[in-house]
Amino acid sequence: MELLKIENLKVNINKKPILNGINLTINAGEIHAMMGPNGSGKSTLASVLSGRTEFEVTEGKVSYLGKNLLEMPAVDRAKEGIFLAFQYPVEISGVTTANFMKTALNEKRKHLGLEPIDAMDFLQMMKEKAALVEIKNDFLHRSVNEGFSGGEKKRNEVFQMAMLEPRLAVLDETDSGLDIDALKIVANGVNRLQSKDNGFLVITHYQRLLDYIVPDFVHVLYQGRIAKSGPKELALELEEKGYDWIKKEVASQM
Amino acid sequence: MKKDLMNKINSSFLDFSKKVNGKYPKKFNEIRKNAFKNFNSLGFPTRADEEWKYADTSFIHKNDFAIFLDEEIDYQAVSDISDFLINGNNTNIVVLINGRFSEKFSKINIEAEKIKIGSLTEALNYKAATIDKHLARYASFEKDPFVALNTAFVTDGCYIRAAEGVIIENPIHILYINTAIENAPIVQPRNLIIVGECSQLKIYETYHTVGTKPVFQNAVTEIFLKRFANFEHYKVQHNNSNTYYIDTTQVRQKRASIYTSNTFSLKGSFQRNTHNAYHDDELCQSNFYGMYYLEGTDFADNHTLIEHAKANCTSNELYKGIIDDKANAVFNGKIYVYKDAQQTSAYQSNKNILLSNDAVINTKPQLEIFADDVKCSHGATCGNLDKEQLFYLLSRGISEEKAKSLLLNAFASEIVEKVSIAELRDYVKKLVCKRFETEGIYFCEGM
Ligand SMILES: Nc1ncnc2c1ncn2[C@@H]1O[C@H](COP(=O)(O)OP(=O)(O)O)[C@@H](O)[C@H]1O
Ligand SMILES: [Mg+2]
Repeated sequence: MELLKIENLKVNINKKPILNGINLTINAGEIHAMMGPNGSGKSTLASVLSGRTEFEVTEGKVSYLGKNLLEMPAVDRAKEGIFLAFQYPVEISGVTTANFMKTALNEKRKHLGLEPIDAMDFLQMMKEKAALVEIKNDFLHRSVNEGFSGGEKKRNEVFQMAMLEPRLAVLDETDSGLDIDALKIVANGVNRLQSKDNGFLVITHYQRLLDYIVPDFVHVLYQGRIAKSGPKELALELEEKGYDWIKKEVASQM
Repeated sequence: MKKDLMNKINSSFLDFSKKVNGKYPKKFNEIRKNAFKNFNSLGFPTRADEEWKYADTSFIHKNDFAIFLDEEIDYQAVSDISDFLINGNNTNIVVLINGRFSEKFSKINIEAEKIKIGSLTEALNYKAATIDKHLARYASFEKDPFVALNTAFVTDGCYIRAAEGVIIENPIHILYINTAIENAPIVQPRNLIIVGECSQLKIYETYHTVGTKPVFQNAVTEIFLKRFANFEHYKVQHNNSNTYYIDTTQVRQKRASIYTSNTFSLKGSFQRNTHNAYHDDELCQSNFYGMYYLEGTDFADNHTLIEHAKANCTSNELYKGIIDDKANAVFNGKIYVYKDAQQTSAYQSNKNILLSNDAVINTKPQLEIFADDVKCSHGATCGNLDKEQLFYLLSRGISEEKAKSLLLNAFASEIVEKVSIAELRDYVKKLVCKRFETEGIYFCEGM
């Protein structure tokens, strides 16, 4: 079943073209890895999918579960099951993670015509999901990301993903800045959530995350285009040869 | 117009003087006369006056205000105060109707050896010596026209005196009820609060109006904290739209005393808080907190002054504001460090969120430091809600309206959570949440 279909997507920021014709289809049950050098447009793609408005889509189509995604406001996308794990999660002083998640979960439940979650059930759910990413309980009662280390922020993103159980999750460099143990925790979080009904777009700069999350497809983004796609072995090849290899290939095609 | 009111006040003062001469201690009637002389020469302030630069006091002349004598007050208009109570019948409550101590409604459940609470008029006669030592000694009627006017007409208010070495667990609620059914009164309560050595006391003040005519309340409270006293002082201003409050609180602190205030200006046409603390000995601490959340054309002005007159004292100030529509707020924080006040620590911060393009904030720190070994910091911010934070919440499926509430709530909660009295904290939360139109769900932090 097709979750996401991106066709010839072109995006500008401040009149400057950043994405130059992206084509990508993600079906339910698939994990896609998106790699590429810094500045190639990975975060831009993630942001456009999440519904940020400061980007201008100049061409192309994006459909999500058969609906025109580009017409949906960010909040509706989230309610319909799209989740973005931010590359740089913000801190929100005065809002606890618990309160944040309870509000988000109940907004989603309302959207689905369900009653607000029972307080005890919510606590139980939080406890389970926090254990999944090895977050201590007291973190949940502290202000969102306030004073968290880089790794703690990333784990909090995966925790939120686990709480909201998205259909399509986009992880933007959730692995960067993590040591190997934290990396395993994050990967484990993803693997536990993975099912035949949902899909993942895992953006990463390094191959090492893919030792723990096994993708069905690997894409290389370069200069706003998918320069190469292939099976998981492509990641190993990239690790070996570096991005220069792709850069040369692209240059020779021009 | 302006002349009119001054004339009216002058003839009121003549009538009033006839009544009170001979009735109160002579010495005090002298102070009254001096204060009135000062008031006449100072007059009501205008924008040209530095302390009133951003406050539009034209309401004083635009409304048909007058000062009323005791016999002209419609006490019968207040028949039931239960709607104004915050903690049901458990409250220790002082009710001031048009500034006069109400025997009928005031109710204190604390032993008299621990604390004396009653009418200031009564105390003027029976505790003349104590009163003379403190009344009109701290709030300056030389420079401030509103203090001068209040002092000239001192009739009543509340007198509170906590004994030495007592911890008063239950707070005292001072409830101001002003009747404005037929006329628009100038109401001038005068309070004197003395906290004994090593004693602890908590007070909160709330304000209500019966009737729909405008009310101008010009209150003055003098507070004297003896050595090691600890006093918490709360005000929750949430009133009708045609109410005008000028509130002057002058605190005098003795050695190692702690004064903590938290002032909420949530509703009312004009809410001016002139709030001063003077450290008369070393090791004092003053904590001034406040929050204003204004909409429509409401106005709030927090003017604070902390006088670090002695060494080794600390002050902390944090005021936060949310300003919507065409509302207007002022924060003026003056910190004065005297030459001998070495090792002073003084921190001040004022943070504002403007929710509309027509909302106005004037914020001004004023640091005058004459000692050389001090730690002082100040900062002021104003802006809109943080866009990145807002997007983060939206991206988790939280609607824009709810997301804004969450962020505003988070902003406000830093001040609200400083309220140490549970029933008062809940009361303030309710008032604030009602504004967010989201009925309290966001304060369920302790899950
Ligand atoms: N808000 C922005 N304003 C201007 N340029 C931007 C903005 N965000 C990203 N860019 C530019 O877009 C390009 C792609 O950035 P990004 O999508 O963050 O790349 P990646 O995530 O692959 O490192 C870069 O050249 C970057 O400088
Ligand atoms: Mg990026």
